[in-house]
Amino acid sequence: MKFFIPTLFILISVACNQIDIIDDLNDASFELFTQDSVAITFPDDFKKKYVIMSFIYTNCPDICPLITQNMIKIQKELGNPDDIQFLGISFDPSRDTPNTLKQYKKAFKLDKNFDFLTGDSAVVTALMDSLRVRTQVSYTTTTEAGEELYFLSHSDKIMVLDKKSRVIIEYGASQPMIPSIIVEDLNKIR
Amino acid sequence: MKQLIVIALLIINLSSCSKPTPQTDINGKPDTLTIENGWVRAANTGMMSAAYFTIHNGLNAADTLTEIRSSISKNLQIHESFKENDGMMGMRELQTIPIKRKSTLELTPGGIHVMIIHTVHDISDGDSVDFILDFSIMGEIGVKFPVKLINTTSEL
Repeated sequence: MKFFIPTLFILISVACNQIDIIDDLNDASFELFTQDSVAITFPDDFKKKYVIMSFIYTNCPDICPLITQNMIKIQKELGNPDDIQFLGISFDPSRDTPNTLKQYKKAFKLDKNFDFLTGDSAVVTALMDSLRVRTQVSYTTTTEAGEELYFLSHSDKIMVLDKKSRVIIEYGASQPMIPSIIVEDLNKIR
Repeated sequence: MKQLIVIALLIINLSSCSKPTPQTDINGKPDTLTIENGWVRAANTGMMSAAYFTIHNGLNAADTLTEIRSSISKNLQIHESFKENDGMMGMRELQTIPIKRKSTLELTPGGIHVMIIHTVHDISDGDSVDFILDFSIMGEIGVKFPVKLINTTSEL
């Protein structure tokens, strides 16, 4: 009995902090490029760090900036930690070149632990499929200069990878309460 | 006598030119149409941006925002973001924005917004952007919105 209560307490604590694995990307490998045209292998190059990632395209005027804004809030609320890498992965690689992503990053005044990734269309499509991120052309318009523009409907996801490249957290990315929920979750498991 | 008539006509003319002082409704809001809390998202040249603001229609009639213009881009469109049935986030164009009488409509991130296609120059924190909003009843209203990196008027 003397050991029963402490043992029960430990068991409950372990159960409460149990991490659910949503996806395991440990065997996955995607060759991508950062906004600085640096070649990286995802997720291998980010092992030993938590990764918080969302999915965007830079021609998105409203929802994707909202998603990026939530990522910025998470980074700030966590105190810009070195053990967490923030990634915004474009699902529109034909327009989101590294240089375009560089301009996007500059507009948001982001630091070194926050990178945007793009890549070959086939590689990006395979990555999005593996993460169940869907896109679909939803609207097209022609500018006054005669340029045709398309806009995409897209999944609204933010994910956290642990240091073993396993997806352990997944939420809707653009909702206002998401930063505080993710910070709370991460503080429990880090 | 002729001079008196001319002076009287001048006074009548001047008084008709001056804008009437807005009345206030029972909530203290002006009995007219006003634009408040406007801001524009920072963007580099050629990027997308968006403008958000609140329209308070204190008039006794519905009004409609029919057009918006700015030197920041020749391509401004009114759009609405929405969640589709399958959970995907989509966007649709609105040709106009009707605002009911005595009502307030907020253009906010994730909802109705003015899409600014390909800004002609960088806009960053501390800058401001001029817009002309064209309403069916109120006509043209000129506004100047500050540029913000992140909306600081609401807790996101």
